[in-house]
Amino acid sequence: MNTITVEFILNGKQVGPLQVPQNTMMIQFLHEYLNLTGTKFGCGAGICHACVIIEQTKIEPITHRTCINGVGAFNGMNLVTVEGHASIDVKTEEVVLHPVQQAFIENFSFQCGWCTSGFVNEAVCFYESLKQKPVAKSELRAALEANLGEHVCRCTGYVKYYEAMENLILSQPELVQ
Amino acid sequence: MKEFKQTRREFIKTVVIAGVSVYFAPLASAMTREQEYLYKPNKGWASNGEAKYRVDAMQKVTGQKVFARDFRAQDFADWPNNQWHGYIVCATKADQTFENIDLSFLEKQPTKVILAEDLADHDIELPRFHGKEMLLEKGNVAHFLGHPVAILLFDRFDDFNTAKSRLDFNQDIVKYGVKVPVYERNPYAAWRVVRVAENRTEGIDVFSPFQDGLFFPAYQLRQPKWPTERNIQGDLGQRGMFYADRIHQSMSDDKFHVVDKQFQTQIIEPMMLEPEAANIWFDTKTATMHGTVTCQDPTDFTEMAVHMLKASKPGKDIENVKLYSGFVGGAFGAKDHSIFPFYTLAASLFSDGNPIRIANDRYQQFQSGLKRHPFKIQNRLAINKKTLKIEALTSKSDVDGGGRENFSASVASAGMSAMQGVFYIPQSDLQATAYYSRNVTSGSMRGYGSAQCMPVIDLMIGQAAAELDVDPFELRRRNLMQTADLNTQGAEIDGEIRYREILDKAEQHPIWQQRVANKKTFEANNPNKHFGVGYSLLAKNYGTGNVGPNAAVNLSPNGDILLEIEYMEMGSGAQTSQGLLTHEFFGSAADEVHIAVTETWKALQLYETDNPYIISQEKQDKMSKDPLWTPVKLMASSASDSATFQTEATKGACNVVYQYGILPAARILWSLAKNSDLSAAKWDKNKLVLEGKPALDLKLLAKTAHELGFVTGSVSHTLNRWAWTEAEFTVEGDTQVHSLDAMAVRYGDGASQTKKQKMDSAGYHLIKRNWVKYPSTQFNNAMVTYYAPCDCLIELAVDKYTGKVDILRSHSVLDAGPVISQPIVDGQIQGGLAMGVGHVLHEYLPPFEEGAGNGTWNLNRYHVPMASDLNVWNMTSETLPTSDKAARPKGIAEVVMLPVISAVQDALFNAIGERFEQTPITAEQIKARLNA
Repeated sequence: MNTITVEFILNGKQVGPLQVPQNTMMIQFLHEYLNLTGTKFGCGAGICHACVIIEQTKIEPITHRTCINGVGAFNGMNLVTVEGHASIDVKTEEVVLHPVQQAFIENFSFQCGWCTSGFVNEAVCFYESLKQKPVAKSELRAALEANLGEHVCRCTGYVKYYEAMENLILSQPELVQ
Repeated sequence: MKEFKQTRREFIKTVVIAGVSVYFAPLASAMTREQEYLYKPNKGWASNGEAKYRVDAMQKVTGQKVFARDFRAQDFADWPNNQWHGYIVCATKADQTFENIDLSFLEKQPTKVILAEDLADHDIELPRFHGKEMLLEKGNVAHFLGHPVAILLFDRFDDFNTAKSRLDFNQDIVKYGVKVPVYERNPYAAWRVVRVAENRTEGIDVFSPFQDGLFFPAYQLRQPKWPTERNIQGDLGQRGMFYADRIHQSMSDDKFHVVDKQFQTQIIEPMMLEPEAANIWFDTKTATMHGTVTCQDPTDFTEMAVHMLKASKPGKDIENVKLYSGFVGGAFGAKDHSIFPFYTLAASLFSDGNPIRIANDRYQQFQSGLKRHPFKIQNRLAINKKTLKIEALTSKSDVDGGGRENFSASVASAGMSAMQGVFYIPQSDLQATAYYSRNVTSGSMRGYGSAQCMPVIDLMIGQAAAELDVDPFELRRRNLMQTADLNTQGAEIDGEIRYREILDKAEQHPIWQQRVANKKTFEANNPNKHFGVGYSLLAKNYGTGNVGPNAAVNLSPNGDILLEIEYMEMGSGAQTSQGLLTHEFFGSAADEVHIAVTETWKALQLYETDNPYIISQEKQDKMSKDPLWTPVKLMASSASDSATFQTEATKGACNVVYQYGILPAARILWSLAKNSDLSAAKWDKNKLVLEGKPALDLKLLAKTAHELGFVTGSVSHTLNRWAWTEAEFTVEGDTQVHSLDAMAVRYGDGASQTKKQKMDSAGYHLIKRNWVKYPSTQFNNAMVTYYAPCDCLIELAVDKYTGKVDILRSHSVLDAGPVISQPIVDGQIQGGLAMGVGHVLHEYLPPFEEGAGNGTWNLNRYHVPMASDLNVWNMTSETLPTSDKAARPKGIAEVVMLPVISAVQDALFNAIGERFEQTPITAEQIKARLNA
């Protein structure tokens, strides 16, 4: 069994260096080595995008599928999973969600919730990218379709995910042109 | 919520099955300290009786460990940490004998290999419901493609994962022998429903199943053989066949326009996003099975598991079962009575006392998971050319159940009874036969026969309208069911029928009104596309006929509300909807809503004796005299059951606490006499108000109720068999009739010792009923009487050159009865549209060797609707408002999908002038028709 060394930053914390079998997929590493199961296994073939996590690049955040990419491919990256977006206000002890998460729950965007982590990560990337590159109002829907369009949801018909994002973005003038 | 005196780590003994103590707990209770919920699951989720977000929203949106598939051995505080992993090897040939498996190519062999002979040596057999040959025996031919032949166990994840990469898709593992004929057996079931109506207005039938009973066939050459003798004076079968013949003969009369059509539906993969998984530890030291499984109904699984274990050599001494239940990551019926967890259970008996986890990947889920049944339907519909009334329908459905029976008999029956759609049909001869085949097993997937059958009748009406040159809305209107009409089984449809309102709304909707002008404009602007508008109105039956929901509600001294329900949360929002129901009684939504609860119901001490579907009236009458007897103790989490059936128990429990806890406390606080009338009291902005009295908040009322020992908690159970149970109870000296058959109450902390001593039934005082009136056993012949209607207007475009369909706009109107949570219902409508579009246009699994049983299917070939396939920005809907205070919420999770299927087909005809007789209608098929 060939092994590789893995080392990256995940949700602000250093992971590794660790020796793991070379054939370990990132999602397996998250689940079986780190016990972080918020990233969901959907198809295992890179199609449904339920398993995407975020890489914080120097330019902008981007997503990667973890079911078809080996853990070694993530070496050296600064990564965020769905577990890494929210925090607790130390004064009020209340949960502070990322605006995207907040928009999703207030709009009843998901039902069973299995696709939610993928949608959250993809939508967070899109939302954050708009801070650098605002989108024209007239092109917002097309941009949402382009950014979220590869994600499979079996429960909802997608409407409430898309509406949540459109309303969130339009409510923040700096994100649109 | 400390006042509830329950800790997360506490297991509560619930029931005894075959001498085995069964304990249930939510998954959160299993977590080690470090992993406990980071965020409160439902803090502040509702206000003023409306949900701000789903009860489970915070957990799901932050990726917390709440699904059964998420859990490993290390997550359970009392499990050993050495997690084993399992791999199921399946046969992909069903025309050669199975000889053996060959794993010699693996660098590291599995820790254990389980074959059929190992199961036999240990007396391990499937629960009876799932049939025989859990693993295929050597020398036998697979009963179906994907029949498991071996379970491989690995004691380390890395070894498992390395082996899996070489096992997947490997055709050399299973060694086959000689060619043999494919396996055969008789059909799983055959049904025939013959009805001849006499008088519509008085609801009298000449012959019907509800009035006369059902008759069944013999089998010959794997086919049903119905009674050959026709005799109006003969036995039930002879009479039934006499009337069936009469119906068929009558349809040749010239006065009828007859539409004669064949339809065929495909095998559908439920494709719930969470593939099935189970993690089970058989602790030999304490004779305890611990586990967590991805199933809709942990109670059913556990009962079957106990019997399976008790019958086996390694499990015969089992004393305890501890099952953790979590959220289900989508199910759509695919996790309802699935065989999957029993393979993990069997494996746990070979894993040397270590926890064993088997988790399907998507290919394995396609190969082994329950499917939606494909139907072949032959229908004849006779419409009187003069009156435009439907006068007769004959129908014959061949239903492919796949390799194991599962719910095929029931699905065939449900499909047959759905064939009438929303129309009154005075004469009908409906047949449905559920056949065995070597396909992957089909089960109770969303639609349950109706998705296949119900769109057909509406399409036939559409065709008849075109052929008769009649407005399709007018033809529908003339034939719509009306309140108090009888269905094709001869049973009265429950409740007010509002089909006409829905039809009228659709007819006035801009999509319909402007369809001609819009078509002209669109096609002028898009010369490469055809434009079409279609419509359909259907009504899905819901419920299972014998439903025994339980619920419990408790108030803490500070006014926190804990609601416990029996239903599982699969995503449909049952947890949230049920949590809102307490607002009517306490002015506030529940603070905590526990789902899939089983332990609390033991306070009712109920028992059942007979199959409720075939029990005699005499036996029911006799047993009803025992206040602890009930026809059905529990309900399944299926069949769109939560809104109607779970609600009845939930509201029943809340009402008891309101009547005997809240109101007595209010009388004290308002200085009113003990029996003063408080019917005018009501909740307003979270306070109980009565004219001339100060408003009271729940906290004060709960505190008072506790201090004075009033009723602060209640467990309730009821029974529905297409009608509700009534029983009389005496609580605190007051006698009332409730829509319940069992009740227990808990008194407040300040109750007297005498009262506290009465709380000896799992912490509750069991209140035995004075009398009960259960629904007649005759209702079992009704099959269904509860229907929820929904329609769909679809506007679409078809590419002239590729055949690709774009859904442009849609509008649905749903009669959900009183809506509990509008956003939850809206979400169901939207999701239903997506699944309907998938069924009619995209999703396809071929039968037999090329199908899912070969283990090579995944989303690369199976296309579920993506956002780009749907009208995400133009999907509208409305629910009919109701002013009927007696109306109950309807089960709507399935119906919202159905009219989409027929509306799209209707729109395709409008667009390209072609009718299709099978689903899915792919772009290739449309292109072929366009080029023909």
